[in-house]
Amino acid sequence: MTSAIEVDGVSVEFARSGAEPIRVLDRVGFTVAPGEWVCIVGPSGCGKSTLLSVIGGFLRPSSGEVRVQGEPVRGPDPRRIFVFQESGIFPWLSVAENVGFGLSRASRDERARLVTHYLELVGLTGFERAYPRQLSGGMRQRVEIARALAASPDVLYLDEPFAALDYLTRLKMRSDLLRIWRAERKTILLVTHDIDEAVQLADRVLVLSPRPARVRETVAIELARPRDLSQPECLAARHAVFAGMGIAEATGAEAIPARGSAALAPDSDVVVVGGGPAGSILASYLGGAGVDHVLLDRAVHPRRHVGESLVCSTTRVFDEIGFLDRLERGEFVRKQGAVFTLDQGRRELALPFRAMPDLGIAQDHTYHVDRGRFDELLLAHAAARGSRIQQASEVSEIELGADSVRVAITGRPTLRTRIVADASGRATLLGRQLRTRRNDPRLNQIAVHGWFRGVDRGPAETADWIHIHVFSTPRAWAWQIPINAEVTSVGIVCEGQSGLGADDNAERFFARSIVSHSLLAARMAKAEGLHGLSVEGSQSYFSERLAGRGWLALGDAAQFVDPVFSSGVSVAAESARFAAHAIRAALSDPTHAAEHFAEYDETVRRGGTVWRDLILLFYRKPPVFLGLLEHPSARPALQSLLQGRVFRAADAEALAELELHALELERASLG
Amino acid sequence: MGRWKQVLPSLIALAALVALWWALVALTGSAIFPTPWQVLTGAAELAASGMLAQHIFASLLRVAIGFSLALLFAVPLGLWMGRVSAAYTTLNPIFQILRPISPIAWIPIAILWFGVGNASPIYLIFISSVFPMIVQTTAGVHTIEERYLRAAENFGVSRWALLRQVVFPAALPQILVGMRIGLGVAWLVVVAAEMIALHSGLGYLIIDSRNAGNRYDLVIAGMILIGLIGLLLDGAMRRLERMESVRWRFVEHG
Repeated sequence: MTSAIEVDGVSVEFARSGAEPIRVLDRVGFTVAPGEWVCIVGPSGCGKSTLLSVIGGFLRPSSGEVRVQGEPVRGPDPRRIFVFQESGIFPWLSVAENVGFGLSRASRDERARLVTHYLELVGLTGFERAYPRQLSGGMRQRVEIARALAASPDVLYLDEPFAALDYLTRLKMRSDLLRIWRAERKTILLVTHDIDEAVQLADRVLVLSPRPARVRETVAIELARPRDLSQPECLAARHAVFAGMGIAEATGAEAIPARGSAALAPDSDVVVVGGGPAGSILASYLGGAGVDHVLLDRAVHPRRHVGESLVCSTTRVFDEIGFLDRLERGEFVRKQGAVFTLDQGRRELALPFRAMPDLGIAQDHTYHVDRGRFDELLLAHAAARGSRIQQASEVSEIELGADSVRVAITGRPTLRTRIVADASGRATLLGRQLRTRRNDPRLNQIAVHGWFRGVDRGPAETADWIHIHVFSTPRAWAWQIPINAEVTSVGIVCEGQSGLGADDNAERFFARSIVSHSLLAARMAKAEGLHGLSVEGSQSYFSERLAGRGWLALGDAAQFVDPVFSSGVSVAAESARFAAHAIRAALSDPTHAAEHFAEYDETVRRGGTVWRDLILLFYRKPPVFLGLLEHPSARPALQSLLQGRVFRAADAEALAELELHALELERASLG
Repeated sequence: MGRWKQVLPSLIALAALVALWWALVALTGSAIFPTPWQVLTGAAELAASGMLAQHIFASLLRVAIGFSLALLFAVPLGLWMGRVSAAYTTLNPIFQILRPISPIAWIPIAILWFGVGNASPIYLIFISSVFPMIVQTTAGVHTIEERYLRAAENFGVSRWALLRQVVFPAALPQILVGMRIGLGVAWLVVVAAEMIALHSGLGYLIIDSRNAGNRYDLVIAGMILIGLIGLLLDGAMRRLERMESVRWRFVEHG
C-alpha cells in the first residue's frame, strides 16, 4: 500500500536568544497509509503538538521533510484539515456559518445541503443558528469536526481534540468519531495524551519519547472496532504503550512485593499515609479485618477544612466500620436535605434526602460535621479497631522498588512494606512524585469561609439542611452549613481569578459577596464571626493513575473536586472502602493483585469523574440543573447521584442521560 | 424593581447636589451665578426660540463628519498595520508620537490651514478620534488567536475572504472599543473647538452666553446638555457591543 503521509527525519529546533536552541523534535520518521488511523502519544510537553503542526504545514521543520502522496508539504492545504485542541471554530459565526466556512466555492444550495448533512452527522441538528458561546465544549468540538468534514478532506489532523472535555463527553465523542470515521473513511492522525483513547481508536499507536521527541515505540492494534478496553488484547496493547512510555504497569504476579521475597522482611503489610478521613476509614476497615498495617499521621489538628457536610451514601461505610453509633450520639447535626436558592433567594428548591435501601441504608439523613472533631474521632476509632498509629510522621518519599516499597519518614526510620496506601490528602504525595496529578483547568475555584454565630438559618423545617445559595456571577455560590445549635459555617466559592483580586482582601471580598445575594445578606445580618476567615484554594485535580505496583491512592490524594455537592468525604469514605477491599483481595491472592488494583483504579476514577461531571453540569447552567431536579422523570436519578451513588457504571450512564436531558431543556430554552 | 434599586442612590445624590447648589446661591446671594431654576427657564427660553436645537444639531453634525472620516481612515489603516508587520514598524512610532498631543494644541494649525469655518473643528475631531481607533484596530488584529488564522488558512480561503470573514470580525470587538474612545474624545473636542470664532454649536453657545451679557444660566445649561448628550452617545456605542457578532468577546462563555 502506498503511504498517504511520510514523515521523514523531521527535526525542530527553537532558537533562544543567548542560549542553546531547544531541540523539540529529533529526526522523527514514520508513514501513515491511506485510510489508516494513527494515534501519537507521549509524555506532556514532549512535542506531540509541534509534530502535528509541522505535518499540518503550519510550522517549517528545521530539517527533514513531510510528504503527502509524494508531494512535499509547503503549507496548510484544504485537503488536509486540522482540528485544534481548543476550539478553532469562529465565535463570531453561527454554527451553520462555521460549518459552511470551507465551502465558499460551492453553490448556495450545495452548501446548505452539506451543512445540514454534516450537522446531522455530528448530532447538532437544530443548533444551526446558535452561536458557539451558547454551546458546551463538546458541542463546539462537534461543530469543528463537522466543519472539517464538510470541506471533504482526505486527511484529518486532530490535536488533542477532546482534551478539554469532561470524561463522559469524551467517551461519547470517541464513539461518535469512530462512527464518523467508518462512514467517511478518512486518514486520521490524532495526537492525544490519553492512552485509553489511543488504544480504543487507533490502527497504530506511535509512542514518542520525552523531549527531544523521537518515535520510541510503535504498537499496532489489529482489533475490530468498537473495542472494549477490558478485552485482553486491548489490555495487552495498553501495557505495550505504557511500557513504551517507560511506565512499568503492574502485571500478574508482580503486582505487589511478595512477603518473603525481600532481602529484609517488611515492617508491615500495609502502610497508610495520612490520618484524615480516608486514611482513618481505611485503617478501620483493615483493623477490623485483621490486616497488619501502620497508619502514619502528620498530626496537624485541628484541621480547618472545606468538607463539613457529608452525603447519604457514606452511611453504609460508617455502619460497616462501626462508627455510625458515634455519629448518631447527637454531637453532630443531622443533615436531612439540601436547599438551593437562586435569583437572590426568590427561587428556592428543597431536596429532602431519602433512604437508600439498595445500599442497605435505612436512615434518610446524613451529618454536618466539625471537621476538627470528626477527623479526631475517626482516627481514635481506627486506633480502637487495632490500627498501629504512628504520630508526627511526615513522609518525605515513597520508593516503589521491585521487591519492596519503602516509605521514608522525616527524622524516623524508613518503613518497608508491601502496599502503600496514599491518603495524604491534598499533598498528593504519590501524585506529585509520579507526576500523575493533573489540574482541571475548568474548576479552579477558591473558597473563603468561616464560622459564625447568629446566622438566621431560614424556616425551621429546613434550618438544619445544607443551603447552597447560587449567585448570579457565573460559578459563584455560598454554603450555609449548621455545625451545632449556635454555630453556622458560611463559605463563598468563586472562580479563582475573577473573585479575589490582588488589591482585595478576604474580608472585603466576603462582605461584598454576601450583599450581592439579598437572601443571604438578610440571613447574615446579625452574624458574628467566631474567628478570622480562611481562604482556601479549591483547584480541582485528578490523578492519572490511582493504583500501581504496590500502591494505591485514595481520598483527596486521588482526586479533589469542587465542594458544591459535599463530595469530598464521599470520595474519601468510598475510596477507602474500595481500597480496603482491593488490599485484602491482593494480599490473599497476590497473583491477581494487579487485577484487583486495576479494578480499584477504574471504580474510584469513575466515581470521581461522575462527581466532577455532575458539578460541571451544575455550573454550566444552575437553573437548568435545578430544572432537572424539578422534572419528575429526571429527579430520581439525579437525587441518587447527589446522595453519593456514583461509583457504578450504571451511575455514569445515568449521568450521561441527565446530560442529554439537560441539553434538551437548554435547547428548548434557546428556542 | 432591580434597576430602580441601582439607579435610586445616584438619583438621590444628584438631587442633593442640585439642592446644595440652590442653597449656596441663595445663601451667598450671588447676582451672577444662577439657581437651578434659572438655568431651567433659560434653557426653556432658548429651546422655545429654536436656537437650542440648532446649536445641538451643529455640534452633532461636526462630530458626525469628523468621526466618520476618522473611522474610514483608521479601520483600513489599522487592519493593514495589524497584518503587515513592516507597515506596523514603520508607522506605529509616528502615531505614538502624534497620539499624546492634545487636540487643543492643534487649534492654531487648524485655523492656519482651514480658517475659522466648519473645516477646523471637523479637522480637530478627525485628529482626536483617529489615533485611538488606529491603535485599537491594530491591537485587535494583533490579538487574534493564532488558531483562527491557521484554521482559515487551512481552508484555503482567498486573502479577501480572510480579511472579511476572519480578520475583520475577529478584530471588530476591539474596533468598537476604539470607536467608543474615539467618539468620547470627539465630543470633548468639538466643544473646545467651537469656542473659537464660530457662530453655532454648544461650545459657541457657552462662550457667547458669557460674552453677551453674563448669561451664566445659559452657560450652565450648555454644560449640562454637553454632559447628557455625551452620556447618550456612549450609551449608543455600548449598545453596539451587544450585537450578536461581537458578543463573544464581551460576554462569558456558558
